[in-house]
Amino acid sequence: MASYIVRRVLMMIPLLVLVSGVIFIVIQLPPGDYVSRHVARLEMEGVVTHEAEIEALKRRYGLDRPVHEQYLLWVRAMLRGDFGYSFAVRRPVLSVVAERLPYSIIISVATLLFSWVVAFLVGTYTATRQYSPGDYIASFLGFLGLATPNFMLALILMWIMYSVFGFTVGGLFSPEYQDAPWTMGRVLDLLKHLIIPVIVVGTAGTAGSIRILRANLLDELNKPYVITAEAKGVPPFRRLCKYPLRVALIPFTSTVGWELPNIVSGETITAVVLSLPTVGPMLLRALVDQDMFLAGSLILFLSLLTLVGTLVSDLLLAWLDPRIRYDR
Amino acid sequence: MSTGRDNTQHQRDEGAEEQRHPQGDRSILVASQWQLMWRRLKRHRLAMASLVVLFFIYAMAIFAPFISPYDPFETYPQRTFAPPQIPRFYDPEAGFSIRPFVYGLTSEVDMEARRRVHTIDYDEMLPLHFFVRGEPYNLFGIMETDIRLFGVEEGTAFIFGTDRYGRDMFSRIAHGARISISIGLIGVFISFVLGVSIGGFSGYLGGGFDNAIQRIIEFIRSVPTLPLWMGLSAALPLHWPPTTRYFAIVAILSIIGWTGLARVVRSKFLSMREEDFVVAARLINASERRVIFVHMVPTFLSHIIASLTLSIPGMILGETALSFLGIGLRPPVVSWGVLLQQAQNVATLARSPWLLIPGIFVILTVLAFNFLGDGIRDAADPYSTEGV
Amino acid sequence: MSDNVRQPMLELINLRKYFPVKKGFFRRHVADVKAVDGVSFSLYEGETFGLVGESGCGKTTLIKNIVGALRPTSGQILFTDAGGQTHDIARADRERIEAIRRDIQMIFQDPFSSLNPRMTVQDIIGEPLLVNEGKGRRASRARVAELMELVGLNPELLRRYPHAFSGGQRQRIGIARALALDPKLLLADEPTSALDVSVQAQILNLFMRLQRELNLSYIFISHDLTVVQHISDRAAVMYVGHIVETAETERLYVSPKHPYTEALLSAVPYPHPDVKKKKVVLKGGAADPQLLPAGCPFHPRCPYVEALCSTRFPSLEEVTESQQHWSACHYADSLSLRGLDTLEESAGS
Repeated sequence: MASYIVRRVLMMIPLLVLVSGVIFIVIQLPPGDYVSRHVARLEMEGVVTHEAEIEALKRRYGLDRPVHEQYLLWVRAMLRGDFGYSFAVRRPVLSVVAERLPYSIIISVATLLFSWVVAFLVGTYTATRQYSPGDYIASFLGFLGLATPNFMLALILMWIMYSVFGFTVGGLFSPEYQDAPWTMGRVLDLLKHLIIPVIVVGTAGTAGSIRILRANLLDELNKPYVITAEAKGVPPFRRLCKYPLRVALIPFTSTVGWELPNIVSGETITAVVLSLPTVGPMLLRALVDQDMFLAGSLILFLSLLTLVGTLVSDLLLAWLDPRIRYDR
Repeated sequence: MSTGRDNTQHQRDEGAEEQRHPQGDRSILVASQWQLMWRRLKRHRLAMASLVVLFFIYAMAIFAPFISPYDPFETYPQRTFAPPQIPRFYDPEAGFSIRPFVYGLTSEVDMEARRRVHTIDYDEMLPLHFFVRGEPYNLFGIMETDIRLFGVEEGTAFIFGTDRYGRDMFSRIAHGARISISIGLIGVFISFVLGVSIGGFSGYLGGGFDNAIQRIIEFIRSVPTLPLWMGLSAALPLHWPPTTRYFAIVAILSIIGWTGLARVVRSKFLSMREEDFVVAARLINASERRVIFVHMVPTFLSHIIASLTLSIPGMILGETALSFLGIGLRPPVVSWGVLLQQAQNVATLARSPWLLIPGIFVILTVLAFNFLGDGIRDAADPYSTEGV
Repeated sequence: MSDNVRQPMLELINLRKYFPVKKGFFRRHVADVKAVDGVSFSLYEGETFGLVGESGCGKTTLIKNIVGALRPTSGQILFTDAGGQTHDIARADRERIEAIRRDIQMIFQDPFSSLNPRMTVQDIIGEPLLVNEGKGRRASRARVAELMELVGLNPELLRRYPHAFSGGQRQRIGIARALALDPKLLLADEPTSALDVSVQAQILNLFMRLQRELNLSYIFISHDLTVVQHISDRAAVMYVGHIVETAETERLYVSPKHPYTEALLSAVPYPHPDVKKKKVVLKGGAADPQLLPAGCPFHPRCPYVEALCSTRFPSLEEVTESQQHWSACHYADSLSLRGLDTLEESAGS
């Protein structure tokens, strides 16, 4: 088990190298380099720049060196905790990330939990009451949830809240708690504001998980051992919980690996629509402003979030399911 | 029959086995796997309904200029944010009419709110005519014509309302379908080429190459898709012409799309390599090329078609999301995502909820592709005895 | 068959096939699965050699080596063709193997997975002719029809797909495909085990008729002892990659010289309600070919185990009592083992 953990953690390293490489390419793609874009922006604002200053800036960011050295410089700076400076928001990138990433994590984790609980309950219900009205309704809503883009759902909920209840959904805090220190009231306010984002982000994944759990459980329930148990008079609830549910849950828990990237994706766009103080809207702003250092770092942290999340879920799964072979 | 004392026995054996099939439908005995698959698919009601829906959506995209009553870029400044004029057959005073009609609109400017307010004028019935002459347009770049599917002779008929510049939403949705739907198809085609070749080599060669490809696929799948797409499409030069941008966006969407297909192809290759009839083909000295293209590929082609169908929705949703955020396709290009951009503001949305109608088309298309893909996947299993 | 001077058609000498087991991130080679471990036997023209053993004992791997679908780890597979030339299949190049495959063909166990569901019967049976002789559908039609009649299928059905046939009919299609190139030797890998009992007998009769008509030789694999008894002249019993006993079929069944053979024979059902047979029930499951026990691979399950068995590996030796009867048991001569009382006992079933 210990060697499995070590190997699994070591596997992260090549992944991180690949991620950073891809992100570096994204940063490098737009025409013109970082400094000249910065200079152009300054000049637009009427600031006079000197040739020597520009050269100094270029040297500082290693722009006079070949691309692969620039990449190494960039990685080395990040390892030292220097993620560069954002000209779009005029702050160090790291402070922007530190401010916004926690909310992204909160929403992602909350969505994951929501998605599990709902999928578990609805999946079990629909499998045990196959072809009942509830099953049909759940299947219908599930398909709809899978097909509706996150932002559409966010828009529709916003519109309903606004036109029916007359208030604007958005943000993670009510105005009075916006800059307040952390109190019980602020936490409750946050939880209240989490409901809509979590529903919006979680719907598609939940719908998928329900389908998986329902299919697995139906497979399991039709197996001879369950029929034998029924013939021997084992009560329905016990018949369900003793084995079939446990077996059906295993593939279900392993779906976290692919659900987490989806959640982070969904969270990004939903946050834009609902103007949440998470990474998403900042990423969009950075991209629109072509502030590629900020954008690159944000994508890097989002990727890191999914990689670490997948790692944690893999380790949990290995701990829960003894059938996983550690020696591979 | 050849000589041999157990011949009579054979005939009895065959006769008995022939009984397995009802005398009625003998065509099934000489039906190929494709024909059998089509039979099974026809029994999948949701898939067939989806096929019909997709047929109509594609027809709408192909014949967009003919179907739409107005030019998608024509603005009607008197009619900004006009509500849908729903076609009706019944009027309380005039009773039923065979010919559908729409009520007219009266517009006035609300000075206080500084916007145009439209009210439905129930006294003004504007009959809808078919094959009317409207503005001239060019169909497929070969035919200059001004015949449009429907329209009114005087007044306006905005059946899905208008946007903030007074452009007809229905015409814009019909034209947007061309972009949104073709992105799915082209993207899937690129994914198909990438996925089949990379997955095929991976599964066929195995070993180190396979291992490397598998790691890369795992990597791509573990990265959150949308932020990566956003980064890549925001990095596209702004001065690129719309067509170049369109293809660049398709390429970006396919970067993720091919991985799913590559996995399917690879796992099929791996399992097929050990399949008895593939081994049998090798044992009669069939060449590798023959083994792959005559025995292996046709057997899993249906699975590929199913996963291709199931990967179209992701492409359509991806384009919609990117364009909605303003970093995918940009106006003046009309796509469903671009149309939805106007619906970003709650206040606007509350006043003009019809701006969400393009989203309904997105959902409908995605649903249809999902159901169809499910249906094909179920029908594709050659050894399923269900329904045969 | 007692004629020793005769040149065997096929001779296996100390054949081994190991599958490497790789583990870990760097795919280190940590162990071998010894699927076939030192097998030797000979097959003469016109003869049927039966191979018996439980699932996973290496029977299928063995014949896949003979048809050149797998490369042996070591050993020789000597095949003498019609011209009297002897080739070592274990070391033949692709071209040679392709030539030899015209003489050696294989029948698969599962008649459902061994026929391409997307091809018509005509294309399946005609494929060997197309690939090897370049004969298209039209050129091969007469031959395909002839082959179908030969195996007892109605040639009018040649445009049908495999799904339109029953298991027995499909197996006939597979046999017709194997016969298309006029082979000398057929390797049948449990050709009847996937079929209904009533159809099994018909397929066995077909094999016997074809042998008479076409002068074929067979290696016939089965885990069903009665099938092997019915069809083969000589038989061998395999246990985790080794042949533990081989003899003429009758001798093997009546007076086995290996405890494993005895156990297998005691499990043959005898269809008479009054006869209760004493069964030798073995302990445990078959040994893992990756972790073979020291000494005799059978010793952990053997009811007659002695101290020597766990230390020394018994090689296949001719028993003193009779010629051409070989057993890999240290105590083959001293044990008195029970076989079937007479051959008719179960042949009558």
